[in-house]
Amino acid sequence: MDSPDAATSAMLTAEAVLADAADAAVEAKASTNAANLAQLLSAFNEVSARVTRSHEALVGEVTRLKAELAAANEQLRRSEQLAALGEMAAGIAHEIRNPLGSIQLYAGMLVEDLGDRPAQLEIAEKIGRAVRGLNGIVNDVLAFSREIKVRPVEISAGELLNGAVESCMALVEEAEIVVDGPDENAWKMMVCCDPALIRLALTNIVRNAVEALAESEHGDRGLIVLAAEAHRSRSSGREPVVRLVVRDTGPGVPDDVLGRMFNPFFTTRQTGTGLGLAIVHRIVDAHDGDIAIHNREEAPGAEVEVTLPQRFTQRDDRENMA
Amino acid sequence: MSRVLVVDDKELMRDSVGATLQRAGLAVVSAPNAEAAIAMIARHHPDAVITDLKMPGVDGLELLRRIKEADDTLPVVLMTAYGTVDTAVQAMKFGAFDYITKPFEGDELVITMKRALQHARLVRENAVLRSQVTAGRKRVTAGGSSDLTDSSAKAS
Repeated sequence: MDSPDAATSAMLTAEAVLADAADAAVEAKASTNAANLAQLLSAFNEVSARVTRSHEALVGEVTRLKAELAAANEQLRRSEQLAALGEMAAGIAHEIRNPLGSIQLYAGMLVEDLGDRPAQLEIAEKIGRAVRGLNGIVNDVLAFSREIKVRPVEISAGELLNGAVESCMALVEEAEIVVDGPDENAWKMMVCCDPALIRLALTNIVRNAVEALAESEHGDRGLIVLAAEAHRSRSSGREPVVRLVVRDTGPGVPDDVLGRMFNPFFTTRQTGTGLGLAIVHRIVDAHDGDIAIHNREEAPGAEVEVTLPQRFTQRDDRENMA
Repeated sequence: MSRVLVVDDKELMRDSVGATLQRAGLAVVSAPNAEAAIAMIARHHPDAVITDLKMPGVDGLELLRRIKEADDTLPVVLMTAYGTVDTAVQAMKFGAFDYITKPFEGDELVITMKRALQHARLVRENAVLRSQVTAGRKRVTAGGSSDLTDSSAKAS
């Protein structure tokens, strides 16, 4: 509310006062009255104070806008980079997949033929397993690079968040992690998005949080908090947005990792292709949304925010009716 | 022995798919593109066709259309890539018998092709039975017996 409008109006007021003061100065000259001169001086003082205040407000506003622009540019740069990388990766993946399929079939033939030679059979089976592993990577690469088509429908934020946790329930239970939320508010909040895509994105985020918690050394049981918030975006025309938040009590993300964690194939873990968060980024991009990851200030842990614009619907009215 | 035509522009795929099917006791002929496939069908009369979806020039979908135009009873199985399910669904609408997503295990390939062959055989047998039934009905109408009318209900 305060910044740009307030600064402009402060400037306008200052200009008006200056004009008044100039009129007063003409009168003062005419009368050379000492009282008028004092009045004039105080008017100038007032003007200069106002100008200083509005200057400060403007400087603050410029700083904020610069930061916002830098963040938007960074997001755009990442999006473009991911799209270019995706195209290249898809080309390679397609070329790899066909011969890989053939190797799988040939390995299958060897397995059939080597039934009476256990040592050789084991080697043939290892080839088969290795090929299946490679196929998994190829599929991940293709999922990352495929053009993402968003088919938006309305779904509750609670259902999305809950669905994400359910799809990695085995991991959550194994690591003995407590999941808090989504709360009643989230179950009531409707989000317009592609449910399958956003659930996939949230699943990747939750899985990341689970893995961070499983890695963390301290003895307490890990906690994951899921929440949804409705906002009006500060930028882009104050359109309504929904923010889906996944918070964990893990060790947080080291600074040198924060800037690189969306890069495809970047991973700090032993397993996985490092495509999870890159896929998340692509999905959020396809929704014209944005994603932010930062370390929590109040306690150790990381917080991921997925912000999805809700311009598609006139949901406010319908929600009130329901 | 049932005969299968394998169509793929990649030599390695034709070879590995063909070898897998041969080892399962099927006779195999292969073609590197759609034009060659049409010629092979005319010459070898395969009982089923398995074709890659994505090929330079005439693709698998168009080949499917041409085959169905010429012989509606010849089952066609498409080999599709991960992430092209939409196309696969379209192929089913065009009359493909089934599709199989690359990469696949040998068993999956063999089972799919045997089902396609079985299906084609049943379709052919049905056609023969139906013509027999039609002929029988005519005789029944002429002769007045009701036996063959019952068996026509079972066959159709």
